[in-house]
Amino acid sequence: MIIQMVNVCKEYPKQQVTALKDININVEKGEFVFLTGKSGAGKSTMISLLFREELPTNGQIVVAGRSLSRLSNKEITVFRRNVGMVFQDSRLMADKTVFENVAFAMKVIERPWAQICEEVPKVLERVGLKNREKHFPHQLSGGEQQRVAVARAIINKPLIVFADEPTGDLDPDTSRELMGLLQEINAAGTTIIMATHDKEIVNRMQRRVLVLQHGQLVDDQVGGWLL
Amino acid sequence: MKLSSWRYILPEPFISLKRNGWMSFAAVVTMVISLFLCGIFWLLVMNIDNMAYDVESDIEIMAYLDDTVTEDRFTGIADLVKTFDHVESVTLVSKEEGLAEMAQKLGDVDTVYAALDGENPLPNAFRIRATEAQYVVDVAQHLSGMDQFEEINYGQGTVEDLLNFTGILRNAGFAIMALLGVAAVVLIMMTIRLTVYSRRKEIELMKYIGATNWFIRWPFILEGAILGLIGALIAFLCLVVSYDHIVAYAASKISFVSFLSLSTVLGPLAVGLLGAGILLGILGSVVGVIRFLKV
Ligand SMILES: Nc1ncnc2c1ncn2[C@@H]1O[C@H](COP(=O)(O)OP(=O)(O)OP(=O)(O)O)[C@@H](O)[C@H]1O
Ligand SMILES: [Mg+2]
Repeated sequence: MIIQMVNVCKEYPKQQVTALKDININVEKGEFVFLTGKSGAGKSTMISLLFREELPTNGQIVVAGRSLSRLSNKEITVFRRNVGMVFQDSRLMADKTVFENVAFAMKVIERPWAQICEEVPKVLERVGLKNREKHFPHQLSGGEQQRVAVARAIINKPLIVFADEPTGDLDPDTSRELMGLLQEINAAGTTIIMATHDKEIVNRMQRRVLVLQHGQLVDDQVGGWLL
Repeated sequence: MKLSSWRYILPEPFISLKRNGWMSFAAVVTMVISLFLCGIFWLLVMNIDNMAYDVESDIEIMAYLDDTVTEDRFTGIADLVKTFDHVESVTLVSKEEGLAEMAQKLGDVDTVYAALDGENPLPNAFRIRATEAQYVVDVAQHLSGMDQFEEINYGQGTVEDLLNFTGILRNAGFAIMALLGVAAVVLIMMTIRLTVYSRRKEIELMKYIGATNWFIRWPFILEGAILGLIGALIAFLCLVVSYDHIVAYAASKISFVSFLSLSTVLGPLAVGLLGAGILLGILGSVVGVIRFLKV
């Protein structure tokens, strides 16, 4: 079991919002899991908990053998190096080029420069951004930025990739390519948790689907779109 | 931190200074203006202090010996006075020397001697200097307790006023200096923090990607130090260039005071400005980054 959530709740007391209520799930290593639900259902919240961006108000989260509520600053860093994250709003470093944004993930784990120069162009080619290495994020479209974020998330071959609407801004063709890429990574053993609105993708892939509704898990089975 | 990390850290501040050009420029300008003002004022205070010292060091005590004290006791008395606290020097001014000095001051030596009819009405005296002007009154008091002396004269009244005046001048100078210093510190720190703040999203993101705090912090620290160094260097050069002009101008207007020469203030000025610039740049960065590392 690579992910385990036990009775997880997330409240924002100031705004009096209960974003997640009593979530219990187990994910095995190598699974591909879709997280669906209407806007505001709690998909992003769930991913930010799994990524240790936020802490749950209640309950236990264990990812890759680590209990996320008891991590020291150092352990958080180590944990994040083993998981890749694609944010809903891609979040690239604005003053760094496409190449540098992706390379940064390798620099922080002290990979040699020669390896960075070899692997970054490769992964950029895989996400279809072969000739954009020297461009800055503001020179890219939303979809292109999202693909840089995907490249950055997968370049270190993490145990798990969390992706929050990675296909949100993509046209159907590019989006299919990106899904192909994620499938490839998944086939190589990486567990993938992906939040999405895209019915077509979910139906085509026929993987495990979790459905959130008002912060509660209302369905969890393998198949197509369940709403 | 591994050595290979430094390879990635060291070029970062330079790239970032270039890419965030406007922000860097604004920070340097703020730095230059604040440090220049502080520097100018510091030079002013140093000059005031120097002038006050000049004026004060002219103060001396004349201790007139009683007529009954014979010449053979002079050395003994002088040696005794030298043992008093805060006495710097004791010089004998004999009747004759006293008269000669006086005549010279009055200008027409012959007339003075003629007017005195060959008589010398002056007593023998000691000219005594205190180690510092503030002790003049104490020393004078101590001397007036000795019956070998007929009269003690140090410009009573005037000296106290003068010392009060130079004291106020000094204190006011240092007070304004301190205020200006605090203002500069706050301004520079805020500017550097602002350059960091404009990149807060990037800092948080670096944490999410798995960068250690030091891997994120170092480029900012180096960047702050570089901004500080550049700002201080420009401020220093401006001060050096303008100081001679200001002094020349001031000297042409106020002729009775002497100004410190550039070479005597150059060292402390350079150390002070560069030290402050680099330190504040680093401090601003460190403080600015802290908040965003907590994700
Ligand atoms: N920082 C926050 N403070 C207060 N409320 C929040 C915060 N973040 C999320 N929420 C609330 O929690 C709920 C779930 O938000 P979440 O972002 O997880 O939804 P989502 O399923 O990702 O929606 P979308 O599909 O639009 O991205 C929403 O009602 C939202 O307003
Ligand atoms: Mg969301």
